[in-house]
Amino acid sequence: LASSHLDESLLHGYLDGELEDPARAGVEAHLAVCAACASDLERLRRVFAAIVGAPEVQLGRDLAPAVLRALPSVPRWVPSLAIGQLVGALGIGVAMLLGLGTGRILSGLDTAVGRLVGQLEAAADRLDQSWQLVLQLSSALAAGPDVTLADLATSGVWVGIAAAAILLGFIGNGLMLGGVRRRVRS
Amino acid sequence: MPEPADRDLVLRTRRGDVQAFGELVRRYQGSVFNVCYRMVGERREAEDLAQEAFLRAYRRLATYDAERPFGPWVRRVAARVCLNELDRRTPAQLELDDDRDQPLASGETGPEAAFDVRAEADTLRRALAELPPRYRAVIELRHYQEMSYAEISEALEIPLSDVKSHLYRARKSLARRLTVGE
Repeated sequence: LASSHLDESLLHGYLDGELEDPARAGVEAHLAVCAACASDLERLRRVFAAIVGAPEVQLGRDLAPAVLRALPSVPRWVPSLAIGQLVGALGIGVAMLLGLGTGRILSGLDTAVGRLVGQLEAAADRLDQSWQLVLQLSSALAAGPDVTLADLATSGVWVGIAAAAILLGFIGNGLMLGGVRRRVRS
Repeated sequence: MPEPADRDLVLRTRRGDVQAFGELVRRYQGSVFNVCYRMVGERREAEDLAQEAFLRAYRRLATYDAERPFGPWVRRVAARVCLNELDRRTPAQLELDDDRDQPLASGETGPEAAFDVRAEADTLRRALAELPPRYRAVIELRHYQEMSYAEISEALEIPLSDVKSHLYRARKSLARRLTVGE
């Protein structure tokens, strides 16, 4: 019966090696017992053989010179790879240089500010010392002629007052200059 | 001095050595031309399409996996180029060469045998040329490039069911024309 024969598309798939078990095993089992389907398969094999049996045709000329002449000066795969990578690398390089430059600028600025701060601190120290000297002199004059500078120098009270004033001066200057440095950095 | 491997030529081409690509062209131009010839059935047209196939291959060299054989890849590119060309044409433009081509490398040397081989080759070429372009493409990719159904489906961007039906109908048509399937 025709309905008992294999579908022809199955034979195509079988010869193409596209059938997997259990379909392939089923086809082989059927071919083993069905002469009509085996004959159909043989006919199909001859078609396959005829298709691939034709000899190749000789190419009449060398295509290479024409192909090379027609090659684009910059192939499309260069932009996609080499130029893309080059642009990327250049971008990163420029960013790095800018970063390095910025770092140098900031570093230089930081150094300059540091020097300025140092000079300001030194000047403040000298100002503090001068101011303390003025305070000591004015206190000595207010104390009357019986009190000499030597007395002041040996007086623990005045020495403590002077030290406290200097310390307060340092703290005040330090806070002020610290604020200046933070503003510069920000 | 041994000839450089295809892989080396591809890598040299990627580095900008066009002469290396010229060597690849010389190695594969025969088989690429035959792909085109089976697809379009006309010599001059096949040469132009083979040239176009190599140019396309050059432009797409970045997508080629250099660890795989170059020949099958460039022949598939050629099949795709030909299919695109055939899809653009109207049926009236699909004509065959009138001249008879001398086939290569026949094992037979006698004049009668040569005539038979030539006649069979010509019959097949004509039978192929009368197929719709997509049928021709699946026959080329399956029988000559030995691609699987799934690979053909991917290469031609058509469903797997279309690959099977195109192959089935193309073979039925060829069988009738070649009289080997009767």
